[in-house]
Amino acid sequence: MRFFISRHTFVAIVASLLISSAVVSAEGVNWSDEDVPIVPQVFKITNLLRTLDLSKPLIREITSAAIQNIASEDVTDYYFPVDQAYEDHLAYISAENRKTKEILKVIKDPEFYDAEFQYYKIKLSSPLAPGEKVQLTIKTSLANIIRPFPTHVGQAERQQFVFFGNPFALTAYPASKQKTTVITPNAVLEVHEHPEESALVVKANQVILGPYTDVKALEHGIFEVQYELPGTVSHVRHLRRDVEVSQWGNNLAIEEHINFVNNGAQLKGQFSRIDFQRNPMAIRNGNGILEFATQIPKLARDIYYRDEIGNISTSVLQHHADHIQFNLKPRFPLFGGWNTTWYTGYNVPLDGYLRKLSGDKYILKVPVFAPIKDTTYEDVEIRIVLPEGAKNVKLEMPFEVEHIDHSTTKTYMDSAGRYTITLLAKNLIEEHAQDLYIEYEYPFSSYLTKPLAAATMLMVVFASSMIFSRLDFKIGGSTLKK
Amino acid sequence: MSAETSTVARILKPTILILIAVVAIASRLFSIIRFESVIHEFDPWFNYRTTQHLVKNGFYEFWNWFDEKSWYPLGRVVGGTVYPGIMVTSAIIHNVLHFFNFPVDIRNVCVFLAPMFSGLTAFSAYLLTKELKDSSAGLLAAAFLGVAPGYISRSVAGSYDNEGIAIFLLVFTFYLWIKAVKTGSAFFGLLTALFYFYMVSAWGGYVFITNLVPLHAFTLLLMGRYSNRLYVSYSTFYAVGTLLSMQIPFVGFQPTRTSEHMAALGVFGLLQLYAFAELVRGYVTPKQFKTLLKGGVSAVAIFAVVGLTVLSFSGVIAPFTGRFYSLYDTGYAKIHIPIIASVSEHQPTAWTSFFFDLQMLIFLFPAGVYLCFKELKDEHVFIILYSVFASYFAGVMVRLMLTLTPVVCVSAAIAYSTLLDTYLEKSEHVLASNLAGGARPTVAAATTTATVTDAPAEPKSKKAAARAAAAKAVESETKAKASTKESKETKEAKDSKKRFPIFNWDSRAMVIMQLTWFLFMFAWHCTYVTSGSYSSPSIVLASRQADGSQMIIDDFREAYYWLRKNTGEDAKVMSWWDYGYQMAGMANVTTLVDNNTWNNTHIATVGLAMSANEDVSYQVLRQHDVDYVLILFGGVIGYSGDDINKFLWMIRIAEGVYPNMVKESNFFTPRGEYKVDHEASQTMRDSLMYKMSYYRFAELYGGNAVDHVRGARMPAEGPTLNVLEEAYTTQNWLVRIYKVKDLDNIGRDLKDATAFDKGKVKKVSSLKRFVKA
Repeated sequence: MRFFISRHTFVAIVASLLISSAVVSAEGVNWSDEDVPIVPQVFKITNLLRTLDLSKPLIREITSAAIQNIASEDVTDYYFPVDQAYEDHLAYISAENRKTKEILKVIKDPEFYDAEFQYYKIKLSSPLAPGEKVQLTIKTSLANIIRPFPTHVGQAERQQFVFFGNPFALTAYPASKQKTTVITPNAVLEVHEHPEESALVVKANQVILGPYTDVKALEHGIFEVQYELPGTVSHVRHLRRDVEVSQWGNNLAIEEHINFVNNGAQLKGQFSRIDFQRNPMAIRNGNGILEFATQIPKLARDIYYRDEIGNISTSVLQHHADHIQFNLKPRFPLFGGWNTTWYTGYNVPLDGYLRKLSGDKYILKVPVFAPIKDTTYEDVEIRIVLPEGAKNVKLEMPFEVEHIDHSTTKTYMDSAGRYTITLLAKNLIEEHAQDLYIEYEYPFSSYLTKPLAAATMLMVVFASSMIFSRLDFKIGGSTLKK
Repeated sequence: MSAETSTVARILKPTILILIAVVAIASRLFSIIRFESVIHEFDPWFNYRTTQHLVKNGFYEFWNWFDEKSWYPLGRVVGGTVYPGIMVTSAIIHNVLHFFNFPVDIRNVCVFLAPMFSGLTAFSAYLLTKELKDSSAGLLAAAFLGVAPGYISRSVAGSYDNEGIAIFLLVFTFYLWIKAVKTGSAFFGLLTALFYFYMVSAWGGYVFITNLVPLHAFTLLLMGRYSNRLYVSYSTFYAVGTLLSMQIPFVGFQPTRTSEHMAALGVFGLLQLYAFAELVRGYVTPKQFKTLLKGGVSAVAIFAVVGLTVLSFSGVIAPFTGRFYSLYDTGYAKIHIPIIASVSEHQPTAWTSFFFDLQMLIFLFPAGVYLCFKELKDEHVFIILYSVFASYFAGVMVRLMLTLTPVVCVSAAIAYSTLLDTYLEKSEHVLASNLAGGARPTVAAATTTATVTDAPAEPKSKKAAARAAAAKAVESETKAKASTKESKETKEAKDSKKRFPIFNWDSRAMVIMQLTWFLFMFAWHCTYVTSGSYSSPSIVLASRQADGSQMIIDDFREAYYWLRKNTGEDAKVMSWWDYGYQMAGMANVTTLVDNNTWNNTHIATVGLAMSANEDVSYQVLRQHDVDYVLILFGGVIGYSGDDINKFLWMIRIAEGVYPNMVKESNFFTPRGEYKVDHEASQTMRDSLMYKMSYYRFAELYGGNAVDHVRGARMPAEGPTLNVLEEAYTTQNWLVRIYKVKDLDNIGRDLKDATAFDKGKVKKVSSLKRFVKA
């Protein structure tokens, strides 16, 4: 089955299980060709519990594994394989020691990967002696892997989704016992599994796969579950976030440009306003997005919400004790497959984000981005513009990003340009909304650059007007003065 | 005029002018404060879109731009069919700002362009009036023009239209022309030509200049005021200005080929002949000259008449266009070109709007013109001509109120300033000193200008008179300060005969207070009109909720943005031409017709699709690859500018081209009423527009729907649609978008297919066909 997944043929799989099993039997050679993990076989998994949480569009997988060192020496690196087909969907991965709740470091391993799997190295907090056991919890979040089925729904209909996955927990080491629990938001509608190793247990909104015994490393099959998903599937295709620091004005300006799509089931037929107006309660159960709830800092001011053709007049601000609730209502309800773009922004006093370290050194702490609830972000571009004259800039990111770029931006009254850091990231989710730190030097003399530049400009204007007024453009002397 | 020279006045004048500019700009910002910084109405959206294109792709790309997104499938050569002045101006401002690292959005440049230029217009009004009277009148004129609603109507923030900069150019060109005539300087003639060129590039109204300036020159000639100054300034202006104006592709060779431009050419020729005659006169005896003159004049006259006739009939000189005929006969357009008549701003002006747009200025205006008659120097002749013609045009077409406003402000300022001069002069002091001296009662009252002469009244030879006038004009202009003393003796003598001083402080106070009160009322009226009538962006509507808070009705942008984001890249959307520019600008879709209205047939075709029954319409829609049809429907919230109310124009325009398929009379009830309820005629009910407007409308109120615009109770059973399906309707039903159905999959008639889907299988025509086969 891996054969399909690795070729990104999810769509083909969606077609039906029947077809896939037929093809599988036809390609029997491939099936029997077993995957061999390329990582050193130093562990044995004694027990493994996996939970797949499908209650949100973003799939969360929690793997709890009890592992035992079977090598003859101390080991610190545990490898966690991720199917290459999921590489683009893997939004977040974290690991912790189950007992001590200690967060463990997870790195995308640059050595261990092949066409099928990418291994993530989890560094144990202390080396594990031979024969010793430890329990790990690994959490992964997968974005955009569920598909609506049926693909089209009416504007007040609930949407259903299909999830395809591996009934086994994918491990780099053999597991003597493992079990997977799938949690769906509502009653499970339909489940299939292949190969049919064990009877499925379907409880109200749970499917229990397994327990399986003596599962080989990298063992996999396929199972499919269809379920009803309340709520909507929000997806941001592109986010550009501009953060501009102004030490002169003690101001932090934040602007977010969002290209949004409703990734739910497509709207069946066309939109009917009268049905929409006549039955607002039913519409709330449908997959149309009517509003986005966002939170912005309490001290924010000059809040705006616009798009390419102007102000979007339908937003609501509510002041709460610790934040401002900023509800954005798009111009039109967003049904499945519908797009829109907008940008919002505000100013907030810099005090809460900037601290003076020593001398000319400052440290800036800003959130990487402010996510909308239950939304996945595909391409994220974050630009942080430091005040003109900032130098020796050091950036500390809470997670790895695709690309970091350093450049200069010129804006109002700038002469040399402002130091700008551009970050490019992919597949961000709410977990990524952490703080990033930027340390920089900002000499006092830089405070004077701007007034001097302005003064020079005015000076030039006045001087040139002085010269101009003293020039005489008349041909052949003034006839008027006679 | 001691105040003129004092340092206080020197500081005061620029300060007042700057304040006037600030007020002019500020009073145009109502719409920004009340709504937002957004482009208004219809045409500005085209200008904005082309400006964006220019800024993004550069000048050459703009010049050669073929816009395939409008007038589908014909397209439009934008570079050759626009007045590029306003776009280039904004682009230059934008680029200069960006060069200095001011990242101002092009939208804001466009939105604030008209208010900024209104500040400049006020300044040019000051310069113009200063040439006519003095600087205090100039300041008044600037203040009047800065806030006059007649001008504000087309230059509020967001009203990004040609007129926004054209009025400044108009006034400034006229100022330069007067300056050129007064000084006889080629430099000012050249400047006039340059600004004329700018004006040509900015607005079709340049024709007003092309005709008014030659008319002025011609009148001066008739009055026997030919001078070398006139010759130099007019020749420079005409030669350079015409060559420059021909550089605008949209104008091209029109200055040599159309009737509208012939007057300028004729006067140019006449001036050359006159100058030649003057030259000859210096070399021959008067008697010989008379013979020569007679022969020459008759020869030229015959030649000109024959030449013009031949050229006109052979078609080398194009006749006047329809738009010009409609300036002559207001009923012309209604009969011959319904498309022009269908535009509300092309309607004749209602008399109330003169007061509405100009308030007290309209009373002062004739007084100012009268004062111009009293002075009657070259420049006053110009103002008189300007006021006469602008008044006529403003009466014929609402839109041309705009060209009238500057001259009204200028003349009103002259009148007002004269009144103030008369009643504010410190005559008691003068009187006292004179009485003490035992001299005759000399009064400087009202003669605040040093330019008061009555040279033309003296009967002299033409030439001498002209020369004397010229000399005096030059003198008085330049030596205004110095001459006050010298000419005092003679002037005092004259003035004492003409004017009577006003001694009593009470009578003076009464008049002054009244005048001040008028000013207050004027300012109040201007603010009221601006805020109430001229500051609505018209793409956003505002209404009041029950609790008094403002409610924004943003349906247009809702629909346009939906089209922009959720239809295919090359979706073709048909709508009535009014919304073409907005759709191109906001929805970024391909349109069939737009506000350019250059192709009447194409518009009539759209009118046909709207007014014909579904079968005919479907053919038209398919032939034009239409994907969506957009209409406005105000029945739910009572928005009266909707498509059903415009429908008669669509019918009329369609009838003009397709008389066999559309008949206006069929849309009326037998009693000749335009009805949409159950009395509506069958043709009306079958028309696509009717069906689209009222599709499922009755269901909204459970079968008791009332159309709030027409106050009509609609039938409980609404129309059915077979060839279209509703694609999107906005929150207040203001905009309704329909998708054109594809041909049926199994070859049925769309009518049958719809009936089948609804479960009503009646006599199915295609089935019959099938059986037969």
